[in-house]
Amino acid sequence: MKTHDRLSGLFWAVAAIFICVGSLRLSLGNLHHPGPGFFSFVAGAILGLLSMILFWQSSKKGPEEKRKTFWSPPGTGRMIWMVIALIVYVLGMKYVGFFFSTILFLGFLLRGIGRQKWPATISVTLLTAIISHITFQYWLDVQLPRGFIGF
Amino acid sequence: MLTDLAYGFSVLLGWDNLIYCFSGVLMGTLVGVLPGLGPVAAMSLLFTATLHIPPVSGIIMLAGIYYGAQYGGSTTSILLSIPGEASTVVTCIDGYQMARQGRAGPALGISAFGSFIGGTISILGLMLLAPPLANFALRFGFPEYFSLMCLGLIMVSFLARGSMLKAMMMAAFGLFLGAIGMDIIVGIPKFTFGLDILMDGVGLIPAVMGLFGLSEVMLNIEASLSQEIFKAKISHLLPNLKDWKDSIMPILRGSFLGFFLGILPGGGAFVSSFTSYAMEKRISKHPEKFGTGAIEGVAGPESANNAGAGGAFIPLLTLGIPSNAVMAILLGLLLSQGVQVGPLLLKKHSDIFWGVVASMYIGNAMLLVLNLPLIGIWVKILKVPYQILFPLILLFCVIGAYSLNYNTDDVLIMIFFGVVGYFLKKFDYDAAPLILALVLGPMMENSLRQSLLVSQGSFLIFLTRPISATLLAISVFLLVLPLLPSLLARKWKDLEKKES
Repeated sequence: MKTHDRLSGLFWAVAAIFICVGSLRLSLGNLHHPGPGFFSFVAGAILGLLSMILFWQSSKKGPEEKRKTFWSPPGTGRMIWMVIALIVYVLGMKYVGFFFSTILFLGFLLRGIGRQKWPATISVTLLTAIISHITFQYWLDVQLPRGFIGF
Repeated sequence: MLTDLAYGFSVLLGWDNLIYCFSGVLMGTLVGVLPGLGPVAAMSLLFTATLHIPPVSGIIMLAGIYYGAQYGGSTTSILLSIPGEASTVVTCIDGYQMARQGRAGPALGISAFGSFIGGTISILGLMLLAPPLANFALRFGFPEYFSLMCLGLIMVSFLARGSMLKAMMMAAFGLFLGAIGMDIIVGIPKFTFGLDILMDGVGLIPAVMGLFGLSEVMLNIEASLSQEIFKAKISHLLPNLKDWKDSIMPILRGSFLGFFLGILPGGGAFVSSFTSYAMEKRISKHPEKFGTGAIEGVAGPESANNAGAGGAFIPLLTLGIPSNAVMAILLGLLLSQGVQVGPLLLKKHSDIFWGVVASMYIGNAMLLVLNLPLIGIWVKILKVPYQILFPLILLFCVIGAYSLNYNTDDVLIMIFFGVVGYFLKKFDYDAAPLILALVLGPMMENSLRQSLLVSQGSFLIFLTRPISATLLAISVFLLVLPLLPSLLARKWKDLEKKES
């Protein structure tokens, strides 16, 4: 726990420096006329101060609290694949169109990650893609990406 | 007031608003029942759909999701010991024990009745307190608003889950995120990195969906795909006379406590339920029964979380300041529909205020029907495996984010916040203060800059105005409060040393 707090404290301290430097570049102005960087500078300074307190608190001597492991290899792998699939789906949607990219995306999640049998994978995928396409495209009038196929 | 309430019912009792109210409480119960999809994420998903309907209908539906989730969340807590909602975590303790002893029916029953009573008391409180508070808030200028928002953020950090220091860090980071976008006075882009999508600032909805929806799915997928399935039969939903005798006082205490805690910034359903449980255990003649299936441990918190949900509407509808992430979404809805939110809302948009109040009366009655006779349906939904649910949740998140501007960049922002939310949870940071600060940030910046312009650069303006000074004094007190025990302990030790 303490190690994690030390690490996260350092991370936020670096982020705070980035925020403060960026705010200085925007100009702080003066108290009569606060500039565009004034408020973000104050936010960054508070974040920096608090992150240093967290770092200092977690660096103090004391027993390391027990904590469950940060990563759990098979589960973390599954989660990373899911995020990759999500990014590919979103980027590919513009080119392949909503309907077909949704079929590929759901199919991968159900079969590849959820380990569903083929009949369940195919039925849930098709049903969801068709219902969501009709609901959002035609009923709620959301302009979903059409891609080169046209829908 | 009765005339106003009658007007509220006339707004609600058109077919369309009744349908929106029913859809809201139905979806609320559903997301409450399903672990891993809370009301914040569900409201974000439906946010875009509500932009196409009148603001009063939109807020009626989204509000229904919020208080409906408080009802539904208790079902999984009692049957599976998996809280469907953060605010029903404490219900797991005694509710699940009751279910294991074959008393799932009375636990579900008292939870639904308690929620109904709590919800009704909070509506009465909302009706009585909101109008005078809105009148009082007419005295507020920029300095008062700035101080009030400071107090709100500190209170959120004070009441947040886990470390207050980390919660304050999240609030500070949220303030920075709120500052991103085009500067309102000078007109130059701030921290946009050349991305057009950030010119209007960080979108609340993609951020909320990522932090609360996607990150939750990521954690669930990582943890396990297997899920315990409830097999026992549920019978005798109506609590017996002894159950009522044991529960009625906890229900009333929980309702009043929940309502007043709900009004506080950072309050709402979550804090109310925990405080009610702690209070019931403390004042009980048999505290040892708590944790072993005491019905008081279900009745009190369940009433409190519903009353808290109602109380949380007061700061939003009277001051225009959201007290938690759910209210921030409702504020976003009203602002994007061009509704001026603040003390004048009651006068200029009385249909919204009284329509919401009336919808809560009807919505609570609908929920009682949905959660007692129809409990079997929700139990069946619990049996849908998570392996099938999570792709659907992800798909809805993607469509929800995309449909805001018909732009995939919003979806990428949602994914970014999903990853951020995943790490925040891993490192034990609460995302709620971040969301609140993201919403309050631009309002705070504007109030601060305007106050300083008025005072010609003097910060004393925040201290010389009585309301502002009082609010800041409470903020400072809350900041110092956590340090008091250690300071007193040190003082005590010094005294002991001197004496010896």
